[in-house]
Amino acid sequence: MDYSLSQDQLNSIEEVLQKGLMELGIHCVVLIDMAGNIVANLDNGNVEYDIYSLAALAAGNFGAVSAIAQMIGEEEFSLLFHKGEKESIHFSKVLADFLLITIFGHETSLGFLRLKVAESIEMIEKILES
Amino acid sequence: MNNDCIGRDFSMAFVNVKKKEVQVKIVYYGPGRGGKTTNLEYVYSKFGEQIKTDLIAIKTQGDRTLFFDFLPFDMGKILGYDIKVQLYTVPGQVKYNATRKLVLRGVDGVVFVADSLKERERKNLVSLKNLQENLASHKKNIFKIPLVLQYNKRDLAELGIPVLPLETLEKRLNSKLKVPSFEASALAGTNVVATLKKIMLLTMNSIEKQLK
Amino acid sequence: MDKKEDALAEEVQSRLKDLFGEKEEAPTSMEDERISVPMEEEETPASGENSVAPEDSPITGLKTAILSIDWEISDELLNVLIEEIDKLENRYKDDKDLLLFLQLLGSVGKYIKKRKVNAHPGAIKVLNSVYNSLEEVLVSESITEAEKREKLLVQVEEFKKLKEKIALKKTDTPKKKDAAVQAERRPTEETREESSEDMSSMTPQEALAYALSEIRQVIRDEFKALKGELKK
Repeated sequence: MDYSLSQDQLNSIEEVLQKGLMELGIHCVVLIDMAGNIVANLDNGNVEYDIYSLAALAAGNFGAVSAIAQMIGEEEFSLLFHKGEKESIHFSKVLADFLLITIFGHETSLGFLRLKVAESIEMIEKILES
Repeated sequence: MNNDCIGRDFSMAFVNVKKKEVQVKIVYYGPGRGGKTTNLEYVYSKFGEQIKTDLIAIKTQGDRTLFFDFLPFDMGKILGYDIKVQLYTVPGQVKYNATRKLVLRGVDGVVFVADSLKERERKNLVSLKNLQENLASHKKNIFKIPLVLQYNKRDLAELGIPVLPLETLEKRLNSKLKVPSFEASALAGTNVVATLKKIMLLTMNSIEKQLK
Repeated sequence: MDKKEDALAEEVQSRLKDLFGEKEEAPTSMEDERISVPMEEEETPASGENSVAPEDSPITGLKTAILSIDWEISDELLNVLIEEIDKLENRYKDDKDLLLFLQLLGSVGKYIKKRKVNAHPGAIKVLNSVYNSLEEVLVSESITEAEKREKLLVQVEEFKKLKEKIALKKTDTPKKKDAAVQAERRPTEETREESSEDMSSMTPQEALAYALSEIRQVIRDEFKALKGELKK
């Protein structure tokens, strides 16, 4: 899993995250690789998450859940989402090596977020592949 | 006991050119109950204030590592880059191999914590072989990755518990690898920091090319 | 080791020294300082947090559809929603207020179906809000006509606000200048046809019903103002 991203690519990715997701009103978005490294992250200024630990756990979690999916004969799960009282978190794979994590409150509808995430991922994948 | 290693290929740590940040992943590997988590706990307990982050441990009810332990810290700026170090341990029990593989993903440096107890001799070998295989599955070579050996639980000898002599451990585990090694007692903290310093030095050396 | 490596090694060593120093005292207890991450996670869907309706209620199908959309917005699910609304419109065709509730729902549902990822995020909120209000009305045994009307008008208000937001959104993206924008901008006091592509066209009956409700609102407001005047 070797890759390198240029400044331009990183800038473009941040733009996608800002316009497509942050402007929706979500609290925090993090793009990581499957080793748990942070590629890009944005938040609404009101949160103070330890995103480094979060990234490590998310990568581990996603990896574990993917392995489980395979075990039960699934290629992968289409929804990885944890609902909290105030904050919820959604994970979505980007290509084979990345993970998009969104953290949002109950003012955001999951259904709508998923549409936006799918759209953003399409754009990010183009940037990553360029 | 200290050997300088020669001729290691450079590692591919995660470099964020935009943020001028490097994330270095170091994994503590070894047989179950060998002292991997204890190493991290010691580092955290001693330097928690400087480190300023929490040690995250995902454990079973029996206090064995289930998923991984994780301790991130900032090393500050080196060569203009912010160096962020991430220490991980893996669960040592044989049944958690899938997890170990996961955690090894993207690793830049490894500390192999060997158990000096005589009865664990075989487990050390099995675990080392397992490390080699899991590294290979990520297209990494155990002979090339920054690696330090730690022979843990040396203090048990004083309590009359049979431990393997150093020469035996070196012969069994390090004759081909020829990497730096330390006698240690993670519980007491002996050489825990020295081990960590060494692996960080080796890892930083190996990623130097990327930073330039 | 060449000079370059020396320089790096030195820098690393000094950084390590700063971090870890030379102290070698015995470790202190750290039992309380670890974060133990619990291993349980729930993924159970929000199974009717505002659940009011009993299971055999006529509104169950609609409720299920609304809850599904909370989780996933797709043509399939939206079609189910619209079908359920149609069914209920048929069932309650003689109840003007209920009909209006359902028409609001249908309008928003069709809008979301049409615009999908480009829909205004507020649309989902309005959908849920209208549904919840409708559920309260249907389930309550003691609700009066006036209270029903009251709730309906609140939802109409929400609907109107959403339309305004959508219009604003459209003016930000100049590429979409359809009739809808013009329709949105007309003054709200007039009785008008809801011909907006945006909200997908209402039938003349729907438009009339909607207009009637608007008229009612205006009359109420006038009445209130008049009462106020008379008190002086």
